[in-house]
Amino acid sequence: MLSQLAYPEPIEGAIAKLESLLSRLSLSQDYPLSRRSIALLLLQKDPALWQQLQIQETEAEIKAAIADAESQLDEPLITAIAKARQQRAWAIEQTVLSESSQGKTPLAERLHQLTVNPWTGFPILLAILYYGIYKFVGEFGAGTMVDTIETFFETYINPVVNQTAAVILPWQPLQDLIANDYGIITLGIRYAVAIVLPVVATFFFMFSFLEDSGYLPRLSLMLDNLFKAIGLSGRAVIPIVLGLGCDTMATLVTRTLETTRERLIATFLLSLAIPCAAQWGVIVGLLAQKPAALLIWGGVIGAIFMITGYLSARMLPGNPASFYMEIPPLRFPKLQNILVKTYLRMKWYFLEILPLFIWASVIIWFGRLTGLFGWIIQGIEPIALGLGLPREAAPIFLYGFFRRDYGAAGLFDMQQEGIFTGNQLVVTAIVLTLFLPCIAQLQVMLKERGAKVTWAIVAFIFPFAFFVGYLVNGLLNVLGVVI
Amino acid sequence: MIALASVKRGNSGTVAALKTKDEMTLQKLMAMGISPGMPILLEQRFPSYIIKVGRTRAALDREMAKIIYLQR
Repeated sequence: MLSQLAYPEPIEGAIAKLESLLSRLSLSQDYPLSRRSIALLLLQKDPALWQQLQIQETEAEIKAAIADAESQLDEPLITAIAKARQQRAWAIEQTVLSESSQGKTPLAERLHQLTVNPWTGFPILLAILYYGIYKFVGEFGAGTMVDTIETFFETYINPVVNQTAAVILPWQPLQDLIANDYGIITLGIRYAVAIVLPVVATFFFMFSFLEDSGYLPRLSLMLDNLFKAIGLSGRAVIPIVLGLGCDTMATLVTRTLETTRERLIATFLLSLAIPCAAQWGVIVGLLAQKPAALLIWGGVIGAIFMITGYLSARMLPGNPASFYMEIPPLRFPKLQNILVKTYLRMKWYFLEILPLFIWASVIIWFGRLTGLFGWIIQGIEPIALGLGLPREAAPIFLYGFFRRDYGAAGLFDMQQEGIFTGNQLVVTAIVLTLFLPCIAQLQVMLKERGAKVTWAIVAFIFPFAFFVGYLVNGLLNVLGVVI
Repeated sequence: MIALASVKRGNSGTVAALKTKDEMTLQKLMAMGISPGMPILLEQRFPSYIIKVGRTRAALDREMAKIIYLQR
């Protein structure tokens, strides 16, 4: 057995004193820690332990012993303790580890240098975002795969469902609940399976690949300076990139950020300016034939991300976030691990959204049946007209309230019918992107950030989204831009 | 003793002190193995500081690099 680790004398003295003080406390026999361990944790001011132990009358004596040890050392107790441990571990390693002198640098090490050197690292970063995210998720996932599955639905599933419903169900409204334009199967499930699923699957596949390769911490360190400008740190790169997949999941992941201030800014930016994969995938698919439209949409959303981030960093009290992160070695990911992770994330996502899409179908069905829907749309119509959009755009915003990807999917349908001009498409896409992501994200936000913050964010986002749409439409008209 | 923020790229030394009053920061640095007595190498300064302490590689911002002092 290894001999005990000896700490510097003042600490050992304090440990002995604390041990004898602790022996007076009535600790149960099967308490999982030895007195020495408890003494060491007390010296390191472990807050959980202070609460857990019923110290009471010995508290003053314990504190005196700790203060006594502290005064004899010229560094904080936690430093002294960590130092003793670290040196011991280092010494043990020296005795058991022999290194062969390596002639050449291993491949992983050379790749690491390439990914973090500013001259090669930034081009690599852009290439990963372009090919990994834009090409693979945007063009392959949201383009090719969506088209294939969507065509399959339109050709084989919808007609069969419509005919079957017409034969089996005797009542027209009941047929509409399941089939036809707004039915649970023909709309809700079709949106979820044909439009959202392929995009999310390709995104999670790419994200898991980057995660397992060890590239994400390098992305963080490359972007730390940029993120500092918007009140965040490199640490926030991971939740923000994850937000490009699913904002709900990303809002949960803001827990990994250090300060409340940073969590707040990240949550706000995720809610406002980070479209989830289902949404930007559909939008990229829609705008892909018109590069100018795609550029304006990307430019406006990017600018809003930077400007609102910059302003909230200036306006919110508190210290700027600090950045430190361990950089693990780069590894070649195992395909099986990536597939398992992708599958689990997709399952989580799909179980989360499918009920919501079905509910949305039911609510739309109910709203149309009772005429309530017509009223609300009439209410939104002036806003749509104010943005220079056709009347038919109003329902999309209503869908957008449920989920912004649901709205985007609706936009996809209308584009197929050729209702929009290029300008109108851009304006609608911008407004929808700025909308709150979805009900699930709202729930997570309420849980993580509390009601006050959440409703303040919501109250800002909806008017702001329409306001930006109004501005962009006006600007395009004044400049005479026709896309 | 010199602050890591003033050290040239490629130079190494031993961690001499962590000059901060903030115990949270101190604990975080030490959890990554950055504690006095450890050998340290500054690999890069931009876009972030990259150091190797013992066998751990870590990235830091400038504020953190100002806290860490080393002995050449």
